[in-house]
Amino acid sequence: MKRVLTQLAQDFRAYKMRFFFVVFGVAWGTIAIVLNMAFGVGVMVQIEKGLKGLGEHIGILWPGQTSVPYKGLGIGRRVRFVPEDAELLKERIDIIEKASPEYIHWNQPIKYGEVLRNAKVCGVNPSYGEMRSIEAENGRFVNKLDVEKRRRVIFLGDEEKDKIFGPEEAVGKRVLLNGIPFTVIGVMKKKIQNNCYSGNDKNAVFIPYSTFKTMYGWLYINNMVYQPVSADVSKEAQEEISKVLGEKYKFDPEDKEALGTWDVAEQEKMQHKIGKGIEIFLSIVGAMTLLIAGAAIANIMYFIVDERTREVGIRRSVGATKFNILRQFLLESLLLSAIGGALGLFFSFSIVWFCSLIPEAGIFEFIGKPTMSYEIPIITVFVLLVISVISGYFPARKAANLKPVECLRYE
Amino acid sequence: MSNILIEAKNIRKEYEMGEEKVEAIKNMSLKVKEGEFISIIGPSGSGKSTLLHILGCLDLPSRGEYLYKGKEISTYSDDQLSDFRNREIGFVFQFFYLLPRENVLENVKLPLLYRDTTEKIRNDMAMKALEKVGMKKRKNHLPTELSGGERQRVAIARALVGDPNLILADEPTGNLDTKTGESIISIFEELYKTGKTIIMITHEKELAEKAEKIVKIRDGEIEGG
Repeated sequence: MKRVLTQLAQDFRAYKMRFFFVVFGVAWGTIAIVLNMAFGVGVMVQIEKGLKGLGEHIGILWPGQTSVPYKGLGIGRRVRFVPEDAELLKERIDIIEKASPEYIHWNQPIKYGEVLRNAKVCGVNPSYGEMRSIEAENGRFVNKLDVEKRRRVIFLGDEEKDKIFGPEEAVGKRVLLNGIPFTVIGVMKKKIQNNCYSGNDKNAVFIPYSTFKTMYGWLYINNMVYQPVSADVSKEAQEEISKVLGEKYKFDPEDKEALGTWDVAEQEKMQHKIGKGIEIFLSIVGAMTLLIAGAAIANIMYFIVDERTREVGIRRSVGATKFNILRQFLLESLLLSAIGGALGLFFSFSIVWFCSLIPEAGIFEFIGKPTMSYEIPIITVFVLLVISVISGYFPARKAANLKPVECLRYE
Repeated sequence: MSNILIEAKNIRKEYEMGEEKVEAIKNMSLKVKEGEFISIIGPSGSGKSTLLHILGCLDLPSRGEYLYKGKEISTYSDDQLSDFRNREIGFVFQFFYLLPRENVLENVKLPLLYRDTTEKIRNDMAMKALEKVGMKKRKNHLPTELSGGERQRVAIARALVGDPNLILADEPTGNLDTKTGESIISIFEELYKTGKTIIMITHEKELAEKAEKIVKIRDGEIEGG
């Protein structure tokens, strides 16, 4: 082995430029494949983050109108939910872990000092915050006591807070909502939300649903949000909900118009597939680039074999077997690929690391940043190995199959 | 000691040069005893080198038998031929054919790389061979730093390093001036005295006469042979 290495070292010194191009080509191809995959992973992570911003495997329910006759009742009957229905779902269906009613009132005046804003007000219960990935940057979200005691407390979306208070601390301050004083109990932590059903959470304010009900006197809620124990049972949960609510409001559980559902879990699965698709596509593009690098290696190695025909003849005349020659040339090209691959990996990791330093804003908010996964280096090394063995093997075989006499005559 | 080392019977060699068939060797038979020093002379294109390549197993005859120590060479596999060249034969070429990017010691060690042995033994054997040709002091030089005569000495050391029975030399002095050529021939004479079998191609009559036996070749045939 040591012999082989010293041999390689000597050949490298002799064919600097050619070898440099091989190494460069492989490094370039490696960077292409790694970065493409890393971008794929980045997009995927971003899609998942965006969905998580709406809520992980949650479902949203809207009341509608019956479109199918049910138990002697006609069509076109209005279905309406009351706040207690959220509790009902939790009680009746085991696989539902959390549920919250949601009142929505648009354009409600919020006043703080001289500032007056119109914002969306949501009346919810404490589990809403957990389901919708709403975390408090400052203070806390609506809690159980707030609901029980119908406290006049308000939680602000981060953008709404900025517009009302600017850089000023908001928690503990009093604002007037629809002319009624409320205490700010928390401000939302900035989150990425690519999906929404009635505006982004950053532009909303949240109050206990009980307070909302008393204040506005609404009997019926706009929608409900629920979360099953896991994404796997989302379908079953949906069916159970239709049964429970269908029984209570007398509509056919199969009636899609009586109860509108948005099952985020199903969408998660779909987007996951799309993300995987993007990742695979980008990996293939990267692999193609590496393949071209492989063709370049083969080309240069053929050239090197040509240049060293005489050397092959000399080695053969002193007793080198075909295998000795094959091994020498194959190892050389493999070593070149290994150096190129190592450099490529090094630079790719550096680039990804560098990207991670850039703040996540602008374009990055949508496409994400290139991200390493444990699979990336494994796939890259595998592809690299296959390509370099193939592109190194054929020139090496050509060298090994040269006839010794002809090599010696070669000028 | 007059064992037959080489017995070539009715050897022919044809090449295809495009459409044309060229007969480099028409019909040659040759016997070489162990320890003999033979020179082959003949004009260029007469088939001397081809004969030498066949005797050295770098090439196989198109027809005829080639027995080495009584064994038919054409039955050998490619790997066996490589091994045969490695152990039995030392080549010396007109243009030296040293690896230009390796130093003298590495060049001399080359045949030993294809033997299963240790690096220390390789070095010792190479140094011994260099000593025989008087090139020990220049072991770290590159071939380009040597004169023609010195390069040929290194090439001879490479031919000797594996202790082969047969030394095949293809115009070893063809690229050297007369004086240097004579000193190279004297190395061959020394080797002859130690019992090596030597076959040397030359077209210089005075050098050929240093050998025990002269074989003349013309147009692919042995004259009077």
